[in-house]
Amino acid sequence: MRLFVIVLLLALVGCASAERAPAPDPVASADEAIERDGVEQLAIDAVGDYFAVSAEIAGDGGEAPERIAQVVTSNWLTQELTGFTALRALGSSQAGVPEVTKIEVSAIRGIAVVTEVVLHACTSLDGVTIRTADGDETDVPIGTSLVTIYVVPEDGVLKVDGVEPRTELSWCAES
Amino acid sequence: MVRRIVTAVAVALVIATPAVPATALSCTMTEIIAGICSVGGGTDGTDVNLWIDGSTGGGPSGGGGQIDCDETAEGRCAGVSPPKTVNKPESVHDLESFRPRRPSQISEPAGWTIAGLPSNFVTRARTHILSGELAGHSADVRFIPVRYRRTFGDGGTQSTTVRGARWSTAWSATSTSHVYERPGIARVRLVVTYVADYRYSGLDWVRLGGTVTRTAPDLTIRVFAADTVLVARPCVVDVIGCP
Repeated sequence: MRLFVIVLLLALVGCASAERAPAPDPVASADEAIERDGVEQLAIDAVGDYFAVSAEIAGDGGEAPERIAQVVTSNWLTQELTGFTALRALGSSQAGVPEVTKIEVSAIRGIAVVTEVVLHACTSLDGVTIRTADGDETDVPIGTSLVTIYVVPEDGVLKVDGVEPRTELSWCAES
Repeated sequence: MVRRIVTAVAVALVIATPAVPATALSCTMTEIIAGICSVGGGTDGTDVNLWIDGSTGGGPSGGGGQIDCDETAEGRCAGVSPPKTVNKPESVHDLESFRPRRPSQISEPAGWTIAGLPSNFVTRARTHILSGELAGHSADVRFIPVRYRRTFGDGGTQSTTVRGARWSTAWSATSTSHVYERPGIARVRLVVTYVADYRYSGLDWVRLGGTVTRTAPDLTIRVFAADTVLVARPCVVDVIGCP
């Protein structure tokens, strides 16, 4: 068995002795910090930018997904690319842009400086449709979405670092 | 002397994607809108809802107003949103402004493997302390990883209390290894469960009830099939039969 494994490895590297550079390991991002003044509005703006760029790429059927990198952290980028890849694989595209109906900052981590902002955002998906590969347009399965969004500083600006869907939609209906 | 048999290997990448469990703790907006993301639910069967709480009378932000309760316990919302104390934290659900750092994972080999052979998975998650504000006071929160649950993207799952370690011997089975039976592309998801302690300045650590989970960035593993072919001599440059 050991011999089998060795020869497998030899074959996979082309029977050459030259070392192949290993793929980089995923690395957890280090905590960055940002000044507290005005951080709430900056976080809300970051979420708005995320929604806009995400909708733009989804509108293109997931093409050129790397555009999302400007508004999400390197940590979260993998997840975003996976989502766009799935959309592309389905041959679908999104028509329309979700409308943010409610957004609030829920938590700010850090005292003098901020390392993370947590927000909740409701979006109305009325008018947003999914165009299938056959050209048919179907309504989005849900009319409203509530998500928790984590925003952290990266390279000096706030970027989205995680999105988690929620089910407590009654909060979205409250004024 | 043992006759040396050298094998040339033909590797075939199969494009078919194995079924990935539908549970998801994190989804992108695109996945949510396209209906390819399921909502809530930890892969270990618990639904840890750390960030939304209606009991303080304000929905997610706690900023006022009412919220519908499917169930109440001692006058506070229960059910989807856990009960929450106001004056001091009692459970991890009260840690509004804290969450564990995101864990990560690596695989060996990195990003690929061969069907039928063990792949090794290692978790990167450590005990760490975060400082911030808790119930109106400066506090530290210590997150301690206690369980690692992985879905391998082929239907296989693993729940363990060990993070795993890098291979000392390549392709060996480890406590955190997994064998893919079929070629394809697998998405590996890791959910780390933490317990949490908190302390106010100068006071001792206090253990909170419950656990919180965080999901590591997924890994994509390409699983190759391998066929063996016998060749006459060791595989060096210009040997017929070598790739």
